[in-house]
Amino acid sequence: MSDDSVPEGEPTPANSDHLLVERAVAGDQRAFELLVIKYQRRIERLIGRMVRDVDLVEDIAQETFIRAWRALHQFRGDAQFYTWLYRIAVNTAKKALMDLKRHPAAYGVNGASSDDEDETYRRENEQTTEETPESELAAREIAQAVNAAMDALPEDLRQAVVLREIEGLSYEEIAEAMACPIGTVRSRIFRAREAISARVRPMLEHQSGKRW
Amino acid sequence: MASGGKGGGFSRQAGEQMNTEEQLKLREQVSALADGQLHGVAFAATVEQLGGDEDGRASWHVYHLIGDVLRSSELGTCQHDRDFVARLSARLQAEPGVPRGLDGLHESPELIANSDRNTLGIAKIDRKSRAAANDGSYRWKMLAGLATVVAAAAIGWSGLGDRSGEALLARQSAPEPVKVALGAGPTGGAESVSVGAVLIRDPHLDGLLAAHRQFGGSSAFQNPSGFLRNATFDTGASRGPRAPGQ
Repeated sequence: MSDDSVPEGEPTPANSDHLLVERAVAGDQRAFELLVIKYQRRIERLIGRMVRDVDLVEDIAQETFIRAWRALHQFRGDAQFYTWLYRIAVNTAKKALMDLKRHPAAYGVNGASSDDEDETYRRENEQTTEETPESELAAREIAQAVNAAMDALPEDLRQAVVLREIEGLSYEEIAEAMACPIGTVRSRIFRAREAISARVRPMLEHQSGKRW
Repeated sequence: MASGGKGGGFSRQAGEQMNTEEQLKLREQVSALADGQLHGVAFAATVEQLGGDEDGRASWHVYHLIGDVLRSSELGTCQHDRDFVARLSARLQAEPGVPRGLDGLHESPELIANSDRNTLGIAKIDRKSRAAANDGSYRWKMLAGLATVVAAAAIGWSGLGDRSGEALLARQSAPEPVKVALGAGPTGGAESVSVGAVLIRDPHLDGLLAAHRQFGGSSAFQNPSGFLRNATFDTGASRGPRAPGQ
């Protein structure tokens, strides 16, 4: 590993989150935005399971991050940042649903019965916000592109990225498993990501709304 | 540093520019950052660079997207990632910043989610429509509290008043010196005599009351009836001899 990697506790993405939180609390909004970019999909997916209205999902996700930003100084790192964020998102969504139930006409949302507030509620054959035909197609295309890129990777790169992304192993554990230096692991994972990214990025550009 | 442009996202031109050695180095740092492998100076420098480099942020986004999709294909469905972050960024700039100096405070995520400073469009509408319900009015709460105190006082006062009435009634029904008419005989003239607390009255009246006792007990006016009964029995010593059968 190069000099860039200073071992302060076990190097994990969670530690990276905590460091980003520290920077955000110190006033670095960009650091917080990196956390938003990282977790936005998971938060929207979570809220999308509770709320079916497309605009409301995004509004609640925005509200979740705003509330997290305001309360960021209270995050002490006892739990993972995503766990903390997850709880804020769930409670923000529940509060929005309660408000929605009180004044359904004010939101222009129809068909929101009390049963809909159940996090596990799912009407049969009904698409949620995240499951419009366009988004389903886009998601399928991205998944196919990622899988095709994975298949096309050299074995050592594929193995490294699988151990990292799917198995969740640290660089040290991957180095031990693959019997190579940590710097090699880092390089293999980066090259694998770049190869997959080269296939995915043009798709993101061409999808409606320009994802990035 | 070459950049894809702040608002332009990933493009072919930017793709050509970012294939520079410097861009590759930054992206490698971003990859390591995504895996939590950077600390200290390297971490700070990379985050600093990412803040102003759209291509670096795009790499950060795509690397995490790849990981999310590998773990769950459902996580590839969000469609407005960049717009979402841009909108949030604008809102964050309007915020006063992360509060500081409240280190002792540690609210739960539930409290954070339910705090009053709600900026959801929903909540704004909701608050407006609920204004007439007096929920947020301090004066209304004061009035409600005052009404409660007044009601409690009224109930207490009425209870006390009942007890005062009972005491008054008890005083009124206490034995007093009674003036009764003493007759010399069934047809004799009446004579009024006051004899302190001792009840002296016409024996004929006692006889009459004794003969009609069954009516006294069934009266709807219990107190006078009771008095009459008591008077009947309490004055036995002063009664004259009764005729058999009376």
